[in-house]
Amino acid sequence: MSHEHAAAHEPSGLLKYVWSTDHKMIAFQYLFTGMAMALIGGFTVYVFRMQLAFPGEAVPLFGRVSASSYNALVTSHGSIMIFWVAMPVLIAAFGNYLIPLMVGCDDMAFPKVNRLSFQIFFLSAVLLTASFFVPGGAFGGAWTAYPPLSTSGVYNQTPIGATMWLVAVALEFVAFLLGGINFITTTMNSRAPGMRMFDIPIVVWMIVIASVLFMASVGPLVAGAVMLLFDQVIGTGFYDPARGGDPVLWQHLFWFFGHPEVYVVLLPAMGIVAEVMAVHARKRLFAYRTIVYTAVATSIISFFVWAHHQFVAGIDPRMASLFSVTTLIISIPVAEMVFVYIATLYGGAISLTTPMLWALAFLVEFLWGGVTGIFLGAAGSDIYFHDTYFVTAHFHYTFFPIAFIAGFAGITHWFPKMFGRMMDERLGKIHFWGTIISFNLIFLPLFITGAAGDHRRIFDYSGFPDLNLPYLQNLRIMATYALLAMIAFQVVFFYNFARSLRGGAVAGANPWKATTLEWLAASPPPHGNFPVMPTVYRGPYEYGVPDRADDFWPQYEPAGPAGQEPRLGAAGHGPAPSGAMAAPER
Amino acid sequence: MISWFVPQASTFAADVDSLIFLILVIVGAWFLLAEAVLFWLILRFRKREGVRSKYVTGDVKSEKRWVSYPHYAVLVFDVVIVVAALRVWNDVKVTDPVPEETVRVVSQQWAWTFVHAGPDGRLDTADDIKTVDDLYVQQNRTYRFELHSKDVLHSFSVPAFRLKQDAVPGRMIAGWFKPTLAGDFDIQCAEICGIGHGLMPARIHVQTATAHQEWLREHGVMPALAANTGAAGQGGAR
Amino acid sequence: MSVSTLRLYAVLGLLGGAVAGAGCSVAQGATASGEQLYRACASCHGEAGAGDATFGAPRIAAMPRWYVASQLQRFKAGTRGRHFDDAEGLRMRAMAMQMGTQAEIDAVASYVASLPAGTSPAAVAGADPAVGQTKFAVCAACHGPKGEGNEALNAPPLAGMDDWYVARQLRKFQSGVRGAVKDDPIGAQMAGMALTVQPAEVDSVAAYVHALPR
Repeated sequence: MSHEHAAAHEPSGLLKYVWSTDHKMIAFQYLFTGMAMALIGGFTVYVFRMQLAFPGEAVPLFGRVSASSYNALVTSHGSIMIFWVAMPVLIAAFGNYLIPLMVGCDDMAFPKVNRLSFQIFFLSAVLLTASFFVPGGAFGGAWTAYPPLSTSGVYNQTPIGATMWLVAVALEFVAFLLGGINFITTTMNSRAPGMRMFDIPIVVWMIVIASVLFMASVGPLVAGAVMLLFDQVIGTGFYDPARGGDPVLWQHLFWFFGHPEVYVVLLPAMGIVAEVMAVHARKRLFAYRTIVYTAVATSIISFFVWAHHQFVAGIDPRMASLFSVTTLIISIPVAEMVFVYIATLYGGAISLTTPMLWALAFLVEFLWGGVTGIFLGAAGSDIYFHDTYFVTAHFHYTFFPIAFIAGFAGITHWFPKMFGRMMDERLGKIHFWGTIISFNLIFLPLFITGAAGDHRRIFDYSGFPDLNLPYLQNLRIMATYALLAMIAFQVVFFYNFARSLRGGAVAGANPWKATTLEWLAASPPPHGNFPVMPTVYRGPYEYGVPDRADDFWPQYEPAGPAGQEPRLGAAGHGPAPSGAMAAPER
Repeated sequence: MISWFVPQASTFAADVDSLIFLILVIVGAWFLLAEAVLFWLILRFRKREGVRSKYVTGDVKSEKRWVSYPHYAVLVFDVVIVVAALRVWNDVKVTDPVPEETVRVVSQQWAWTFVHAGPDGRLDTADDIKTVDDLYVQQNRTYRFELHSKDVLHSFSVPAFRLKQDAVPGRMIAGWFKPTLAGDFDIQCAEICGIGHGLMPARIHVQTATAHQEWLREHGVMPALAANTGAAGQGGAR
Repeated sequence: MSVSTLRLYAVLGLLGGAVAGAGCSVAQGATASGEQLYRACASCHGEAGAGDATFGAPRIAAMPRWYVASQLQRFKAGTRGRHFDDAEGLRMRAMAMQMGTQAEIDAVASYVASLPAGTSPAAVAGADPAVGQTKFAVCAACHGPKGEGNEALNAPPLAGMDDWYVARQLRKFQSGVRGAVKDDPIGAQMAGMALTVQPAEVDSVAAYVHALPR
């Protein structure tokens, strides 16, 4: 590796964890911070779902939920799960951990920038958490923070909480901008010799594309956030119609970022799923280049769909036609990506290990989220569904697979690499089935309440005769019980995680018999990652290559003496393969 | 399908429902097909002793068509959905039918004020009827609504009409509806508007022509009286 | 891996029990304490009930229980705070809806009454308490010579009340924004009395009331 970065400079003792510039340590810091924030985000949803199921009753561990605390809880839940769980776990933790290992270098291109990125992120998490305890409590204007509600304490009753929320979000963006610089630079400049563009594993591609997408989309929102901060603190009127401002301007800035943000977290999740599927189905990914191209296409189109969040927000109704069209266009690359993933399974030898179950569940559940999005992207039906629980259910069927299902797939798949031990398969499967079944039981009922017109962010339905009906309330109670079950099953995961750290079977360098470079390093990899820097000889997914003894052919393994074509399988160079079916070995 | 849950109480409610049903059929079929293929592949290609995976790259045309044909089909169905969706959208939001009457809808934290034209059928005259949280309209009459907000964003949502429109402070946003079904229905605020967002329910009362005339007679304040009382008496009328 | 199956089922059983327990204990819950219920009020009126003029929320700490309870009922019923020009009242009306039962209203009213009394600094400018004192004689008939209130006449104590709030309410009574609802004799009575104060004297009356010792 080209930059001067020596293991000898690493601080010792506890400081090792605080000041480490090792990409793996920073990845763990992001991972564990993200998991801790997920506990807070999980607690908030527990409280407000209990209020919805049993309105007015004191919730155990919290007490009675007032209208203002309900708003603060839903706002915090949304903000935390997207900005402080999905982003740090999917992009920062997996990006930091995997990129140097998978492209075959010893660390990120800018290790100190990397450390700064985490420190800023950590500060933002602390700031957000602290906002629960200031006078007035945490901000309650929804994670979208639409002005004028978010600008004035007179309107939102949480002037301090609102400003802290905004500063925390802005700091979080800074952290990920710094992180993104590293991901892109490292992937472009620090790849192992021989690794060409289309030899890069898909998950790395996805994280890099997501980072570019994030960088390109977040600028307007940061500018918007500064204007909002000025409106809150020094009394400017950017969003105040009484002084020539326009509240809808914020919506444009927010969703210009907000919709690409969906793909910022979706793409790394799809990447993780691709890696897991290839390894556990022993299959080369179907149409590797198509996956990369569709990811790029999705990213580009995602800049042209933002106003579908604003069909009924007071924009010119003729604009909706344009954004309906672009929104349905984006379904094409995303659908193609899903088709490619499904096609990858064809001809595989699928082991239903825990990570593979998560990866397959991602496809199964994400399809729900994908198809229900059509109802909302089509302007005519969005009039009815906008801001109902149908929307809530829809985006949880995208975000839960993204943040949690793919996250669990990644953690269970790379746990042996991260900690050198295997996780318990039986506990893993109990956790899997418990989580998946209860997840569906939470959100399928909410599609129905949404279809019945149940609108969002209502803490008590008793004032709405058309919504305060027994069958709707029973569905709400069912969703709440399913949520309690899902939270309970996470205990199994944490137990398994903690137990396997010390008690799991020793993994060895390559327990899954995988092909990518990270499995060449020891488990866990030492500082500097590889004893000898690897050289890459072929594409990342050479499974089931005919006429070889093993069913996998690692990227780092020099071509055998049997006269194999040395660049076998590098995308576009592969042998005409469909005829070359592997004969069963006997 | 939505009418199983919520009655169709306006002229365009059935159109919105048909659109939703059309989308449901199309994406439902795709969804079932995709899930079926997915589960079939998972079951069919489970790891078996001694059977190696096939080496399929997906980079040649004969294989790619398994993905590209469905992909073209998605495109075709997208066009169908867009055309249907925009027809409904234009009907509800873009067309501007000649109204028989105008009502003003004013939202604020956390209440709705409705200004009815009163017996003379015109707004901003002395016989206007102002009510809080109750909107009275006549069946089969085309209404134009003028939507205002006094403070933050709100959203005027009448699920039974399949109508929803955000209110933006500093703007007047106009729209229309024509109620077809007599009865009382929820008006919801569908945009978070502060800590009382869940506590600003209102009702729309769609009345038959005779019942509406009766209501007008009862609540239409004579101009002279209105001047004396500041039309205050309407505040508590329910 | 050797987790005994028994231990596993025990853990799962406990989890299930915890879930069911959490659900049931809530489903049959009793009235929350006044302190918990007061969380709904604290957003505007403050943790200590000191009020906040920016939200239009008056000081309510140590107001008598009967008065707080009756006003909450009136807000809920629509006899107060349901006029289209009463911006603060419309907000309070929605907030009052959070008290679902009479027991909750009583509990939160008791808690408000138990909060330590205090007085906010004067906020109305250009007022003359001396003028206010002469006008207060009319008020004293019901509210008492020291502004101590009289439950039998439905007259709340006024001594030490926020001056801006008293002035605003007097103007609301005068303009018919408050107290002009059908079937509200108490409100109508106060609306009539409010008209005895000249518009120019409203602030002075408020300043005098604010200066009365509690």
